[in-house]
Amino acid sequence: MKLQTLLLAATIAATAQTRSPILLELFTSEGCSSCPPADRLLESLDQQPVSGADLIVLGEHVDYWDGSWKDRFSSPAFTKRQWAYAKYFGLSGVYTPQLVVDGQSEFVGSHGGDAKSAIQKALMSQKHPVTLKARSDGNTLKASVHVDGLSSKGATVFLALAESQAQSNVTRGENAGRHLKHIAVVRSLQAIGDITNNFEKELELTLPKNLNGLRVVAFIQDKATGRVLGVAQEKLSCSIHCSCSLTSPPI
Amino acid sequence: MFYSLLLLAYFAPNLNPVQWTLTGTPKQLVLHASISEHYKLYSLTKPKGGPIPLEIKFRETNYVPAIHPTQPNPAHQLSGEVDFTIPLKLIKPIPAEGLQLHVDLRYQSCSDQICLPPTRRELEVTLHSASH
Repeated sequence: MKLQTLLLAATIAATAQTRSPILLELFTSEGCSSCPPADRLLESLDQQPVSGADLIVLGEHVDYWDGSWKDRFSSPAFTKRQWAYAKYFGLSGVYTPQLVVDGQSEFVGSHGGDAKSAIQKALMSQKHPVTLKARSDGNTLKASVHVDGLSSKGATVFLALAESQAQSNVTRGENAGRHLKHIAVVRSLQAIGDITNNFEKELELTLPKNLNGLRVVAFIQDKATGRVLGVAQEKLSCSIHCSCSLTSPPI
Repeated sequence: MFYSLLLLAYFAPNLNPVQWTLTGTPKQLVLHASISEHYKLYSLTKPKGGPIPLEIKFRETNYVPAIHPTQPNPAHQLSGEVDFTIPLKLIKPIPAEGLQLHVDLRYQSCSDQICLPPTRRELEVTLHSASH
């Protein structure tokens, strides 16, 4: 079993040469009645409908709706991150659902037209290559992130672990009685270091239990503007504690 | 599916869709909410669960120990221009210089496409006795 899982390590650097990776972050909540349409849009974007773009999607569940229904995926860290974006964008507050594309554009998370425009805009900016390797071994994830030759006054490298698919039966709040499906639900997001030029880091992380598939996403974010300078993803199609197989990103 | 979702109409989110004013006399205050188009305010009657109902609290409980505000209709969601009426029963005389009341609001609003977190607002009104 271990040999099998060890063989799953791969790099997506080659992918970045054919399609431009773009990071889409959806700030959402199971307690928000306006959010399910945005979840559906995120799912459709994950099907890679835009030519030339490798859309890397993340669902970040904020906690300010937890008074009515405790969203088991919510975290104050995502609320804090959303407020940081509000500052970058000069907004007076936050809202759900909100979609942020490459840290450059924000709009109502269910607006497909705005998503298309933001993705086209993001395609105009060239991304810096990020090499990400990840493999799971039992409940441990071993990952390495490598960046060469960036020219930045100051940026942060983040690593996100996202559950590929999740579902909830909501019993209270505005979505009471609904069966909600999510995609790429972020279970952990951490800054793993600062970068100005080069970056190299190996990590060993304990995975959350009972994941339904895992996506590992590494991205570089400019500290001053919030702009995403580079992003890479690996998908591990696995139930943790079971055998895992690597799913190559679409080309 | 993606392209069908493109058909959704554009609108820029208004992150401050409810404007409040507070006026009144020693016998009654009127709390006015001006709710932007496309938005709704969860009212005083909103049951528990989901977005929070409008909460109105006075800080000067030594003058106003309890209030029983009313709204123009029993709807759980209100839109447009709305007056909440707050009858007052002051338990102490108003000082000669007037009585400044501070009202704390907590509320939640949504449009048909976005929802805003619980919001707090502080309002003030100064009351003078009828003899002044």
